[in-house]
Amino acid sequence: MFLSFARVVRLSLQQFHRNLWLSIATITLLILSLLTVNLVVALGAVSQAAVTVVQDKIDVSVYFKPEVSNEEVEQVRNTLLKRSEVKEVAYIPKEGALARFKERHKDDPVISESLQELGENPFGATLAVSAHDPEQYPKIIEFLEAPEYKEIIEEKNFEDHRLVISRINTLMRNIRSFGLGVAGVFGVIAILVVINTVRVAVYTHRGEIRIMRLVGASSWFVRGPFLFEALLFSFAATILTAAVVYLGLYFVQPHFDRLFENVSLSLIGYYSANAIFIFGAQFVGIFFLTALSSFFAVRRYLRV
Amino acid sequence: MINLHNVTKMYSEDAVALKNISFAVKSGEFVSIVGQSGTGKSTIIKILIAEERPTKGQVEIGDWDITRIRAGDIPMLRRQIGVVFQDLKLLPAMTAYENIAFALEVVGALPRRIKEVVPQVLRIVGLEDKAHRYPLQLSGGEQQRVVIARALVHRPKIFLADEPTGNLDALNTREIIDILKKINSFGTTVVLVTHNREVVNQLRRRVITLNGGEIMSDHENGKYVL
Ligand SMILES: Nc1ncnc2c1ncn2[C@@H]1O[C@H](COP(=O)(O)OP(=O)(O)OP(=O)(O)O)[C@@H](O)[C@H]1O
Ligand SMILES: [Mg+2]
Repeated sequence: MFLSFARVVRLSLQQFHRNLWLSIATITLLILSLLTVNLVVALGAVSQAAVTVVQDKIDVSVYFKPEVSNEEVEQVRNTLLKRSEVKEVAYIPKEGALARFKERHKDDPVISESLQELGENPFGATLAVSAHDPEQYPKIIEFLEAPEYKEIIEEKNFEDHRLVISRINTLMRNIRSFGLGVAGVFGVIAILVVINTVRVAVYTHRGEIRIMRLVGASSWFVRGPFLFEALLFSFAATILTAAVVYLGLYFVQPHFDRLFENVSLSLIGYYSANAIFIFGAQFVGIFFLTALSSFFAVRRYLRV
Repeated sequence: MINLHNVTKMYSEDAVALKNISFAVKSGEFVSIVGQSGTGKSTIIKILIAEERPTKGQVEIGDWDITRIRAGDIPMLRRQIGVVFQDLKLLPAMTAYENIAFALEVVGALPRRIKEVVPQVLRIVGLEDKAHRYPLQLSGGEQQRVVIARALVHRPKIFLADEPTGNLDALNTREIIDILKKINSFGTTVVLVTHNREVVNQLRRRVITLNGGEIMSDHENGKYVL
C-alpha cells in the first residue's frame, strides 16, 4: 500500500517534470484567476467596511419643538423602538440639550447671561434614529411625516443621507458585479486551460498508460499519478496565490489606514481570520477542477 | 486453456471482424494464426485480453469465463497473460531494466521480487549484458526482445504475440521465434499472429488460417497456405 503510494508519487513527479513548462504556464494562469477571485473577496471586505463606517454615522435626527415635553418625546421614542426596522433611538432630553449647549459655551459670558435672562430652556429634545439597514430610512421618515408628528417636530435631517446611502449602495453593487465579471472571465479561461493541460499531460503518457493496463495495473494505479499531480497543482497555485495576496495587502494596508481613519479595517487581519475558509475554498475548487479533468481525460485511455 | 465458442465481433454494423469463430487451444500448445490483413487476427488477441468484447459467443481462459468480465477483474486477467503488440513500444526515457521493472512496479511488486525477476527475464531473451541501455541504444531486434521480456514478468501461463517480428530482418526474426519456442518449452501456451511464411513453415506447429473473419483451415503441423 505504502509502496504503491510512493510509486504513484514518484510517477507524478516525473510527469510534472516532463510537462514542466506547460505546468508552469497553467499554474501561472490559475494564480491569476485566483488573484481576481481574491480581489473580489478583498473588495467585498472593503466595501463592507466602508458601508459600516457610513451606516454607523447615519441616523435621522429629529429635533422637537421646545414646547414639546420630554414625556411626549419619550412616547414617540417608544413607538419608534417598536418598529422592526429601527435599530436604536438615542434620546437627548431638553435638559441634555441645554447642558450640552452650556458646556460648549461655558467660556462665553454673554451667552450664559442671555440664557439666564431667558429664564426657560429654549431647546427641544432630540431623537437620533438609526435603522438596521440603510434601505429602511425612507420608511422611518415616512412614518415621521404623519400629521400628528408634523406639529411637534421642528426639523428633521435626512435628505443628504439618503443620497449618500444610495450612492454607497450603487457603488457597492457596481464594484461587486465588476469584480464578479472579471473573476468569471478568468474562471472560464482557467477552466478551459486546465482541462486542456490535463488532456495534454494524459496524452503524453498514453504509452505508459497502455503499458500499465496491459501488464495488469489497476485503474486506480493509472489514475493515481494524475490525481496526485492535481493535488500538487492545486496546492502550488493556492500557496503562491496566498503569498501574492499577503504581499499585496502589506503594501495596500497603509492606504486603507489613511482612508478609514477612525475605523480600523485590517485587510490582513480579515484575511488571516478567514484564511482557512478563503484559501481552503480556493484549494478545494482548483483540486476539484483538475481532478475531474484528469478523471475524464484518463477514462478514454482506460477503456483499453 | 483457451476456448472460443461461436465468437462474433462487430465493431459496427458494417465492420464485422470475426464471424462465428470457434477453436480451442490446449495448455502448452504453440499456435500460429495467419491470414490476410484485416481478417481479424488482432481482434482475436484483443478479445483474449479483454481489450475488446465479443459481440456474440463465449470466451474462456482456463476455467474462467471472460465473456462478460467485469472491468475491475481485467487487471487480474492480464497478470496471467503476457502480450506483445507490434505498436507496444518501450518507454524511451527508461533503460531496458527499468522498462521491465516498471511493469512490476505498477502492479505493486516488492523491490525484492523486482530484483529477482528482471534479471531472470532478461536472461531468457539473452540481454542481461545490455540491461542498462536505453531503447535508442538497442537494435530493433533487441528492443523487441526487451518487450518480450517485459511481457514475461508475471510468469504467464499464456503468451500472446501479435506480429512480434513485423519490422525485423530474417536473422532477428529467427531469434525472436527461438525465444518464443523457449517460452513454450517452459510449458507456456503461445499464440503467435504472423504474416511471415518462412516462420510458419519452419515452426511445423499448429496453424489456424483466417479469411474474411472466418476460420479457413486449422491444421496440426500446418503450412502457410495463402
Ligand atoms: N476499433 C475498430 N473499429 C472499427 N473497426 C475495426 C476496429 N479495429 C479493427 N477494425 C476492423 O476489423 C477488421 C479486423 O481487424 P484486425 O485488426 O483484427 O485485422 P488483422 O487481421 O489484425 O489485420 P492486420 O494483419 O493488418 O494486422 C478490419 O476490417 C478492421 O478494419
Ligand atoms: Mg493486426
